[in-house]
Amino acid sequence: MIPAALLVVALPLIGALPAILLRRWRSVELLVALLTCGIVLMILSQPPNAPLSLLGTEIETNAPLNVLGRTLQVRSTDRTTLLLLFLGAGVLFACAWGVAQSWSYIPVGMGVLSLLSAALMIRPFVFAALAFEAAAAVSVLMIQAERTGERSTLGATRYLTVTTLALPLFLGAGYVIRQATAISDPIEQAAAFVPAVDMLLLGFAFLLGALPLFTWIHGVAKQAPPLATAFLVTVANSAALLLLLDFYEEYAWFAHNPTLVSVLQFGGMLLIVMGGVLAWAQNSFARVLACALMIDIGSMLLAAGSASPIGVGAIAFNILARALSLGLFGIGLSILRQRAYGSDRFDDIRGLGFEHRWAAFALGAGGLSLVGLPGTIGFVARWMSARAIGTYDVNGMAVMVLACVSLSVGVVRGMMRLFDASWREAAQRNRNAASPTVIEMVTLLVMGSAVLFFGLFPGSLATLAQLVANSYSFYK
Amino acid sequence: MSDQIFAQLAVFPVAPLLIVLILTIVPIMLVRNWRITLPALMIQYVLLGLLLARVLPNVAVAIKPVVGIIAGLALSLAAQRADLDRQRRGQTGLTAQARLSAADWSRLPSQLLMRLVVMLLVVTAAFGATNRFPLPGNARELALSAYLLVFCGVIVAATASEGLNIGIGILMMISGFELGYIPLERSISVSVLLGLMTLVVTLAIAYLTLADADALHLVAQEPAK
Repeated sequence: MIPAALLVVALPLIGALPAILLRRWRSVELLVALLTCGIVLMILSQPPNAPLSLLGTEIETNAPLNVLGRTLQVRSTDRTTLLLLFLGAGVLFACAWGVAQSWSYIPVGMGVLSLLSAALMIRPFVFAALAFEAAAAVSVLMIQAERTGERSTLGATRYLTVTTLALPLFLGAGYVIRQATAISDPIEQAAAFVPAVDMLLLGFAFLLGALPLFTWIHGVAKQAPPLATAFLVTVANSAALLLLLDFYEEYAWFAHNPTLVSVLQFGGMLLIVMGGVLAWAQNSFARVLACALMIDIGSMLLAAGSASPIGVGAIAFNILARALSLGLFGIGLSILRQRAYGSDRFDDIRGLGFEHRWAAFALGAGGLSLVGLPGTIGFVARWMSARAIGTYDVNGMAVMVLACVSLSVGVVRGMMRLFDASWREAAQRNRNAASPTVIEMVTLLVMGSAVLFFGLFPGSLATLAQLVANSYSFYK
Repeated sequence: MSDQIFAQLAVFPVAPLLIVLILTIVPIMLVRNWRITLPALMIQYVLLGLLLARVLPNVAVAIKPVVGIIAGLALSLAAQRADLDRQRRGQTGLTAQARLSAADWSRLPSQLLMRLVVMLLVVTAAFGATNRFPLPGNARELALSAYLLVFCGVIVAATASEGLNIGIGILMMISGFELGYIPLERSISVSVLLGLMTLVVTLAIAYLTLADADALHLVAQEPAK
């Protein structure tokens, strides 16, 4: 009998090996990645006590796995959260079919997925920080895949440094929790938990990119391949958010701490305001993307602050919306960078939209979905977030809407430069105007259709988000 | 026999270890040349092993120095490779060797003085923090080393601009956290996990070192078809 936890961690690692060996054949590499995600999704979608067998071996879904004195187990909340992570990762792996990625994208992505799955399943929780640190170190290979040279490593080093800073806070919190749990007097115990709450909040602020402001998000968005950025934000960042929800679920003293809501509210607002203030004035798509991510992470922090089923549902839906919107935007940005000699500055891409309509379509549809335009999946995600935030912070909801307006100005400015008619002829003469391949077009069409379809008919994804919300009980 | 050695290490006076630790921190804080900083980092890891001998069981004491020496060697290889690539491109003046031989030791650059002042402030802050916020775990003699490493690591990571130097700062931070945390959880498994994590971080830093020097083509793969 094999514990499902072992398969969830080991399968992506095992899959990474053929993926790296067969990297010359993109379709085969991709097939391995999708097959791995598919098998894990199949295992996770089974009811907890249902018998399941794979190649004649029985799998026990909620059996614990002990590694070096720590326990890895797929609990009821982990099932749904891991399902979300693997779904998001699968969508972003599939995007690599449309546009060639570096050698590291899929193998390293699978390694990161494995480490983050371990982070969500491991108990005691504090050791999740070690898995996050290892995942950040491995992610460096993905971030740094396309750019080299002096100062090109800024985004990757910042990401690694900030994640490292979170490490002692989680380890320290683990010690404080152990000490406080041994205290019998409830008042003394509550006081003893306070430093743990402070350390955990600071640790999450580092992991989620909320602190220090403006560090790795802009660096990574600018220097990493767009799909790698999308992967990090959809998988790694979402895993940190889901870990926060796990802390809510596991520790009542954490969930009911009065400072928690105000800190999440403050951090979320700070990110949204920062992203909103900067978004409209940016001069490259990568920078617009970074601002979109700041607004997105900020709104998720505010939704988490609501500590309600609507808030958890909004977070769950947003992870799937991120995968689709960022995936589409990432494909468009990758194609554009390839055609404009690595640049996505508005000044360098003037008039290119006439030549590369498909890339422009991806940037437009993905960008407007990130903004939250009605009819796109991003709108549903923003709507759900706004509902959650509105339950306790109407100002926060209004600020989020204003920030999205500012973001839309940034996206529209970029699109106007792309279709700048006065530069059309110059763009035709100077650029590498290779026509899009059939694979590029099919991927863009499928992703674009998904963004629009789930924007108009979000029922199935909303049901999944509801399922995730129902698996938590801290607000009941 | 080995038990006796470990037992003697565990009672080795802490003051000389601390002094040597500070002496290894000085070049890392002041100089941005891997031919000086990486040997200092490796010595630092050996010292950390000696310091941890007070709180860890025998076998686990060896983990930190072994991991540190592997990390130092891996980073040296990457830095050497990066320098070779710079030489091949004709940027001979940028290599660590050339910068060492071209240094004018009779005149101290203002940057060095600035770093010296920062280092003195950080060491003072570490002394202050050790008294003001003593670390739990009945191993207070390790607290100063932990604070020194964390503070200096943060400063190096924040002020350096090259992947290798930032990486050395990150490794120092991790060592400091480890020194502060191991007395709280004195188990081999934690030491092993932290050691493995240090190795993974080292690989990432080695990759960034090559990327910084534009030498990734030496390890790059062909793009997928």
